[in-house]
Order: sequence, then structure tokens, then C-alpha cells
Amino acid sequence: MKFHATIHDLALLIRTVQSLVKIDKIGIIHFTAEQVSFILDSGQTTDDIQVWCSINQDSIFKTYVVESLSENEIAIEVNLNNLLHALKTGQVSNEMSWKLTKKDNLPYLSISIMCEINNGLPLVQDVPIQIITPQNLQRHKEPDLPEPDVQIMLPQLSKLQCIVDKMKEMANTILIKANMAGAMSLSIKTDIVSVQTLFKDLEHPQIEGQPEYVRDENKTAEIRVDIKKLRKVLYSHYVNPKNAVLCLVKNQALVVHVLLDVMYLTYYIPALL
Amino acid sequence: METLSQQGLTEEIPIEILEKEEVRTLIQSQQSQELEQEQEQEQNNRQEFEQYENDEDEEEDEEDEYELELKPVLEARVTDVSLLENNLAPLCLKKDQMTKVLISSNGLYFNVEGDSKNIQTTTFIDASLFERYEYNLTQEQNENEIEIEEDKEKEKEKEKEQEVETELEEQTNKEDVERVTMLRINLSVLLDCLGIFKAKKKNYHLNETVAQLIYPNQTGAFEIDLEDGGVVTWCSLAVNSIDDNYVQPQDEMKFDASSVTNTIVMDSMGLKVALGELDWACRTIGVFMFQQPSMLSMQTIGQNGICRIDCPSDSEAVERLDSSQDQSCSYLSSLLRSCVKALQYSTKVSIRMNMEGMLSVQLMIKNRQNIQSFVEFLINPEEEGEDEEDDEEEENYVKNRQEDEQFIIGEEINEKNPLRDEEHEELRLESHKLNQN
Repeated sequence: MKFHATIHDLALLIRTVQSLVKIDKIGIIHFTAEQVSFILDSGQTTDDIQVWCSINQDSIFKTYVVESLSENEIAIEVNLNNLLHALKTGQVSNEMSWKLTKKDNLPYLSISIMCEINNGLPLVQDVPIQIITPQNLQRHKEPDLPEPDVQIMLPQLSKLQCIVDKMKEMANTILIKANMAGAMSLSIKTDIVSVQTLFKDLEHPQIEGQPEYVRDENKTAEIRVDIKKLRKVLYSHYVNPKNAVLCLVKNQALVVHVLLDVMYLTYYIPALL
Repeated sequence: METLSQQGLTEEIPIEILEKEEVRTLIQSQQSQELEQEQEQEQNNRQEFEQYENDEDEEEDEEDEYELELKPVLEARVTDVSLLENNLAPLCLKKDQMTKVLISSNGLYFNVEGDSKNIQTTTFIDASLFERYEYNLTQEQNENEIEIEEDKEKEKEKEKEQEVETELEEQTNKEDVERVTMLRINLSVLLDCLGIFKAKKKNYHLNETVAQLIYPNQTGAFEIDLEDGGVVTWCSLAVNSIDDNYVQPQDEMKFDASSVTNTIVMDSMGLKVALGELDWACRTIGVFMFQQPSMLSMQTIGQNGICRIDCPSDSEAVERLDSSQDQSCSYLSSLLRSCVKALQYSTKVSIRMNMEGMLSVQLMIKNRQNIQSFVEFLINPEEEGEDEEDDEEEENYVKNRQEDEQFIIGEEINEKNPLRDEEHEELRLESHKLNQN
């Protein structure tokens, strides 16, 4: 198998990895001809958050070569902290290239930059990885959930994070309610205090191929999740999303889609019953 | 119902013995009679409306009725919640800090007493600083006061000790004259609620957050409503009952202003920078105020050495220093640390020391639009001679001058004038003497 590529938009890549590293430290990167996907689903077994992210390959990479025996797709498992560290170092130069290498029989993702400070000397950082075989990759599948009861566009994520931050100091779980008429509320309740924040006049997403949604006040859904998990998800504001959609699947999960033109991040937060 | 008994009560009391409180009670009972009559009328009107509403809403209606009858004890609105935050944040000495709140028609008074009982911090937010401020005493409160009068009568009849009587008199006097509502709430949670729209790393709100405080009735919950850019948050904070921990107003820490020996008014930032240089790992901090040369000095003696900050009165950071006699005291660094944390919210600070060694630190809080408000810290001194190690070390310090480390902030080290070192030596000896006393 062969992989080498040069980076075009390092900033976007760094911001994405910064959001992801808040969720879990280990992640799978899946390279295909069109897409680069990040899969963080150790939460499947631990009842934690799962993230499925996909970026158009050509929005990050300038040159991009992926060759392998399995339909020219490669999947690797990497420690996201290490990856982030290497990427941040690369910020000093304009040229960063990635290559899969093997040293002492161990696979690495070699990230090299041309350091202007060092009179053009290359700086190479080897990030240890594990190769994921196609059979193993099959086992990682996006959760199969029923149609969400309510889908609503979220207000500015950074603002939401402020509020959830403060609520986190006061309680452990948060109740999220929304209806199909543009209203969403976040509330916490303990012996000492109860707080409720209400957002009004929110939009609803228009999904392709589905009939136009009808504003319906009576169609509501509510779901209870762990506050800390919700807060971690809200770090996705780092990527400066264009839109964020919240989907409530009663008794099962809270799904947050963070959207950019060239990328999406989908978070699955398990519901507390 | 109650009106009849009230009438009965007032008729029993012979006119000669009517004291001030009782006259007020008379007027109150008349007023409350009128109030009840008005409310009865309102109720009748409302009942007519009710006939047209659903049966399902019956329970809700009854609740609404009840609420409409009683105006909330407190309804206050402020256009910028940072007024409240900046005045209350300094009072938070620990996590889950409880505070006593006294609501009166003049404003809100908050009082926090430290666990060690050696520190107290208070603030008063004047009613005029609010956009809207309404303090209403409810019908219930009037009735409660009348009950107190009844009890008082019974006690007089039983001829109890005069001490008890006068105590009760004083209490009812205070309550009658000052008319306050007292409660205890969790200050840390209140601050979390007030700051719900505040961005974490910034010290300002993105939009102006409007806040409304409502205390519906005597034993209910304290409500805080906030609105910021179209988003609304409602908070309901449980009100703790006055329990054994409650400190009576007469037992609160008080500063005897008549015996003030030293006062300094300085720039908060200057003081904060100066204090930042001290060794906060030390258990106590020595505070010295001198007449000649006029200055404030603070000193720590610890494992890392001896550190001393001098703030002379001619320094830029010092606005004013009045010293009637040299004085020095030690204070627990853990207590002073709370003051230092609070400095970030203020522009100016005044420190007064009195004969008993109590420190009064008053902070002028940063507010918009020339609004003035203050937070005051009262700190008791640490007993002298408690740390024998410290005394010994101080003796060595004086003997072995070369080993000293001197940090002078707020005043440039004047290398041209070598006399300064000698002056300092004298001061050290003086302070040593003071400590020995």
C-alpha cells in the first residue's frame, strides 16, 4: 500500500482534529479516493459519544495518492493527540506532506515540513499508527437509528457552549426539548436550583428528497443526556460551521450534525433513560 | 376572618400604654383591612371571568389567583447583569458559598461570613442602581408582625424577665423601622445563573444581558430571569431557611471606625501587582503601617526567604495615606488571598487598620456609567506569638541583613541615594520591636 499527499488547508485540518480530540484520543482515519473520514466510535462499547466525520479530500490535500490492494482505500488508527501535536508544529511552514512509512517493521504516518527557519531543512515527525484491515473496518458502522422525531437548526454553537458550561457547574444531566415550530429549550434541575433556557425562532432543516416540513407546535421531543458529553460535542464550533442540526431520537440518542460546505461531523450522544 | 380579630385586639389595648410599635400596628391593621377588602373585590371580578374558562385549567387558575393577590416581595430589574456580577463575585470565598441576603426598600445587602469566622465580606447594591426596584411586604408579613405583637402582650401579662422583653422590643423595633426580608441563598449558584450568557474567556457579555430578580413570597424560591439577544433563561434558586448557623445582625463582625489608626487609599491594580510578589505559601502575612516615613509594608517570612513590599505614600499607586501611629499586625494569608482575588473587580481600594488590629478593606467596584458601589472585607488579625518559628526567623533576619531579599514594587530602587538602605534597616528594627510587643 502506498500513500502520500501534500496539505493545502492545514488550518481546517487542525481545527477538525482539535474538535475531535475533545471526544476521544484514539481515532480511525479512512482514506478513499474522494473522502478522508474520521471515525471515533470507541463509544459504541463504552456508551460514550461517537463521531463520524467526512471531509472532501480535495479541500485539504493538494496532491493525493492512495493505493492499496483493497480498492485503493487505506484505514489507519492513530492517537489524535500525537497527530494534533505534529500538525501544530507544521503551522510554521507552508509545505506539509504526509507519507505512510515503515520503520523497524512498525507503521508510521510521516509528516514532514520544510522549515524556513532552519535554512530549508526538512523536519519529519513520525506519528505511530496501526493499520486497519478491510475486514476490521467493516465492523465500524455508523449507528443505525430510526427517523428522528424532531430536527432543528441550532443557534450559534459557541453561545450554546457558554450556557452549557455554566449549567455543567450546577448539574450532571441536561434535558433537551424541541418542537417542530422553531423552539428549543435546555433545562437542568437539582435540589438547589432549576434553570431553563429557551431559544425561539429557530429554523428547521430542509432535507433533500423529503417532503417540505410543516411547522407543528405539537410535534415535540425531549431527551436527557450527560451534560459533559454535550459540552464536548459543542467544541465543534472550532471548525466554524455553516450550520448545525440537532436531531432528537426519543429514548435513543441525540444526533448533532455540524456542517460545512466541504465537510460534515456527526455526533451521536446516547440518551439517559 | 382575621379582620374581626384584629379589631378585637385594638379595642382591648388601653390608649395610655400604646407605644410606638403598637400605633404602627394599628395603622397596619387598618391598612390590611382595606387591602383585604380590595382583594376581595378583585377576587369577585376574577370569579366572573373564571366561568368562561376550561375545567382543566381550574387548578392553574387557583394558583394564578393566589399569586395575583400577593405582590412579590422583591421585583428588581437591571439592564446590565454585570452590575450584580461584579459586586457579588468578590463575596464568593469558596465553592458552594452561602450568603445572607437582606432585602429592604433601600436595596440589597449581601453578607458572607468565612468559615473561620475571622473574615466577613459584604456588599450593598442600592435600589437606585436598578432600572426598576420594588419591595413589597405581603399581607402575610403584616399578619406575622401582628402575631408578634400578640405574643408580646401575653408575655407582659405573664410578667417575664425584663431582659427578654427589651430584647423582643429591640427586635420588633428593628424590623418595624427597617422592614427587611432576610434569607439565605447559595451565592455560587446565583453567580453561575447570572453569568449564564457570559463567554468563558472574555470578561464581558457579547450582548447586554438584562436580568430580573423576583422573590415571590417569604418561603418560596428566588427567581432570576435573564434575557440576552432573544434568548431567555429562567432560574429558580432554593432559599434556605434561617437555621442555627444564621448570624444575628448584632453578632456580625463590625469594624470600629472610631479607633482607626491607619488608612491607605490606593490603586487596585498597583496593590494587586505588589501583593503578587509575596510568598503566598506562607501561613501569615505581616502588614505594617508607618507614620515616618509614611508607608504601607507587607511582609512574608517563609521557606523561600523573606519578602517585603513597601508602598510609600508618594508612590504613584497610592492616593492617600493617613497614619496616626505605627502599627503592625499579621493576617492569615488564606484570608487575604480572598481580598486579592477581589481586586480584579475594583478600581480603587482603601485599607484601614484599627486599634484592635482588624483590617477593613473596601473596594470600589468597576461599574459602568459612574455608578458607585462598594464591597467590604473585614479581617481579624492572627494572634501574635502563635508561630514561634516566625519570631525566631525575624530575629535572624535583622541580624543577618546580607541574607535578606528585598523586593520593592511601586517605588524604584533609588541607587543614587544609598541612605535608603539604612532607612530600611531602621524600619526593620522598628517593626521587629513592634512584633515583640
